[in-house]
Amino acid sequence: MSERLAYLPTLEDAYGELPPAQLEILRQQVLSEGGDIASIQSRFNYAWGLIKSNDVDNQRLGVKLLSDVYKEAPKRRRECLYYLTIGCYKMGEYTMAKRYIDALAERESSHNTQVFALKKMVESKIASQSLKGLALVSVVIGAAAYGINVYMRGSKKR
Amino acid sequence: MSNDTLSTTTFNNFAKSLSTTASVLLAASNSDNNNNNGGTSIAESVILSYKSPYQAILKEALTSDTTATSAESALINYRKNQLNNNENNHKKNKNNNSFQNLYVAKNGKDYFKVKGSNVKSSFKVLSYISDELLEDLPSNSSSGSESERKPRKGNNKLSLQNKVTADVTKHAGAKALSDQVVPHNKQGSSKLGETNGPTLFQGFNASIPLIKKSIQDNNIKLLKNKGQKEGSAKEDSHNDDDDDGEFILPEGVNIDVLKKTYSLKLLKDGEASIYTNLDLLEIQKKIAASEINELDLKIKQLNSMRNLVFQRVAKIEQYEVFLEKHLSGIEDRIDMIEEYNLNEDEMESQLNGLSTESERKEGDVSNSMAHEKLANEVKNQQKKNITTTGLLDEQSLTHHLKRDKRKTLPTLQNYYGQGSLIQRYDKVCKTPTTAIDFDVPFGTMCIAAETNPEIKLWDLNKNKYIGELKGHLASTTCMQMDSRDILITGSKDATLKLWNIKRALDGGSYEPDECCLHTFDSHIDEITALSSDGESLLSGSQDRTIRQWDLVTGKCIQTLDLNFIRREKYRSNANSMTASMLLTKDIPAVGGLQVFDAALATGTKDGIVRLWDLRSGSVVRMLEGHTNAITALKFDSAQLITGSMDRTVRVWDLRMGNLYDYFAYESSVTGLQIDMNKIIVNLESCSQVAVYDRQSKSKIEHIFNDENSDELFERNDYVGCISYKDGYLLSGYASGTVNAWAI
Repeated sequence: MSERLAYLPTLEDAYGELPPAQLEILRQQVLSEGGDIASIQSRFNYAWGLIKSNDVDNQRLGVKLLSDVYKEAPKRRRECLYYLTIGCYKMGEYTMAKRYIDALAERESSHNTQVFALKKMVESKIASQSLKGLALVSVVIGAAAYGINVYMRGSKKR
Repeated sequence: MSNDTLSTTTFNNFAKSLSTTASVLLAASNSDNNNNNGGTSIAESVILSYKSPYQAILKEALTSDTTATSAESALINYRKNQLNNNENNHKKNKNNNSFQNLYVAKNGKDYFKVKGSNVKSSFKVLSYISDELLEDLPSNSSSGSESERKPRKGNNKLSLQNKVTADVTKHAGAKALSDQVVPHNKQGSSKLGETNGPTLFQGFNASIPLIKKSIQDNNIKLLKNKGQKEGSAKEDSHNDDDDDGEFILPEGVNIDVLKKTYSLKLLKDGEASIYTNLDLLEIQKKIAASEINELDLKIKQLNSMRNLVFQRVAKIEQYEVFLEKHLSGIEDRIDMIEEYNLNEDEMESQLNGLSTESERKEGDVSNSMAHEKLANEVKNQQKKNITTTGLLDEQSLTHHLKRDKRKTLPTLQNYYGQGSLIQRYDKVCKTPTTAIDFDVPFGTMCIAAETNPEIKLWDLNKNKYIGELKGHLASTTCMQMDSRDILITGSKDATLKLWNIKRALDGGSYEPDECCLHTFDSHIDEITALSSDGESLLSGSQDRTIRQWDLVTGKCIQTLDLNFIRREKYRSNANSMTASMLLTKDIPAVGGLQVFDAALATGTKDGIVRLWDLRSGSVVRMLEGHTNAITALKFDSAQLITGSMDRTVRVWDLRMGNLYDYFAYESSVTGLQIDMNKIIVNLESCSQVAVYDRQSKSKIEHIFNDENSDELFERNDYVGCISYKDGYLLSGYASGTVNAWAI
């Protein structure tokens, strides 16, 4: 139905770091066009290159640039949300990712599987993370309780 | 792949899962209150849980109605402050990179580094998108039809596109992608980015090969440089082969092999890779096109912004004019009061002195009466003084001439496009215009026409008739106006008149003959040219004399006789004979003159430019070259420019005394205006003036983009007179219309 389907990245596309030289060229491209006023495409290129990198700080800058693109180009907003979701997901900012994908899914027709697949992934991730978190918290509480218990006993014995 | 990230750093994961859990719990509690704003509250709680300098801005941005603009402006303000702070810091501490600067920040860490806040929180704040913005997504209803219009092409493209992605990502060093490409085909309904051709991601993929190529090229260049240093000829020749032609076939495609081979597989591979390349190029093309659209949009926006600012300048200048008008009115009154000692404050004290005397005599009751009486007496006396001394005496003449110039000058004309019509003043005169001048752009215009002794005054800004000057007995041939509301005119009735334009404008308070401050009356034939430098006035007349007048006393100081010019020199020429017979007006004996201090330049009927020393009254230098009568002359500090009936304009070097530049036109020159960069030439029977660039020494063709110029030409209309100052040109037409142009 749509030939542009493949035109969007999957989550896997966000991995695989670019060589530093390539990233540098992307950066120079943005700078040569005037930094904040560079064209949407070159800023996206740099942002996506940053997101692909393995350094969390670079990913953050990439997401920041993407959010700039989102703010400035209303026509690109829908795809930008998708990229933002992927970027945040990769960084582990699942709450942000969820926020973006929710906003996107709300307006996307239900047969857009790519978006909804990503949504599901984000949601399952959040679920597993929160479970782990809960487990961690309970373990900590349990340990604390045990510790206190031991301490109390010790003091009583004295 | 999620496990990959999880396993990288365990500590990070603890923190992450904790924060995620916390936010989920918080979101759950918040969702009871308002489901829609769940996102905000998550973000708020997460961000606000960090102690950061952003708290204040965030609160401002989030609580104050969370409109996109308020959030952004708050951030922008913060950024500005931060930048300023950092600039200050930068001087003290060079290690401190300025915050939020893409130019300085090499990577994300530098970019988000802020004093008093950690990287993560500043990142969150900076990349935060407010709810309003998030919900403001463009609708996708319009995009459906486009995709359905070309389904055939789409299928083909789809498969190709997959190859492209696969190809590109393989090169980029990603993991094996074969299994990723397949799901794409199944998920056949993504509509993102459909409206704008290729998505940004596609653009990214398409630009990767280019980047690789440029890296390669750099490497090759480096190699080349090395090779050249080593001086190896073989290496050079090899490189020449590589650079053969601007375009190269995709990697792994050897055209020579393909031409000879009979292997179908090889051929198909070659075909596919060329297809891929074509597709890639197609995407690059589309991206470039969309970039052009983007730029067009930006240009449009900038243009509309320019228009707004332009309007602002126009408004400000109008306000300035308004204030100037009132200022000059007040100054006039101050002058008048000072001149005739009518100061009320002094009078008051005088009166008080008198009234105390009268108080003793007459008591309190008649005090006010006496006060009034005395005041009236004093005033009447002084009013008599005014009438007896008169307003046209020498003192007032000097006074008028010595008034300060305007404080502000209009500059709006500079912001019009070159050669664009600023305004059209229809039917200013009924007969062909003969002389025109204005004080400042968008100020007051004085215009005279044939067979009409009155000089009309016109408000250029409001496009409105504001008065006329009556006094001449015949039509005006030349005039000069300055910014002090003083106009000097020379007429066919052999007189020159000095006018105060203000008095004609005020309407009613002055008699028509009071507008004329002085009449210079000694010539015995029509005035053809005049020039004034503020102190003295020079006039050339058909009686073949040039007179110098003192503007302060109004007396003729000096008469320069041009009788040595042989009157009939060019009459023997048959061409000029018929020309002068066809023209009802005679060729002016003095076509142009200009004075500066003691230097005078005249261009006369004999085609010779004479430079005079007014102190001795003798000719210092003669510049010969024109073959017919000179009709216009102007000079500035370095050059003297003359226009002649021989259809040429000559530029003379004043220091060397020789010809500097020379250019010809189709018809004889009737008028000439100059400034530092341009020469404006008025040609006989021509519907448009010619403009010459003095810097590049070339004619500027087709400078005027008035759509009515053809129409003007059809009506056989021609420019009768021109006036030019500060990039603002007024051209008066034979039909009586005046056009204002930006040059």
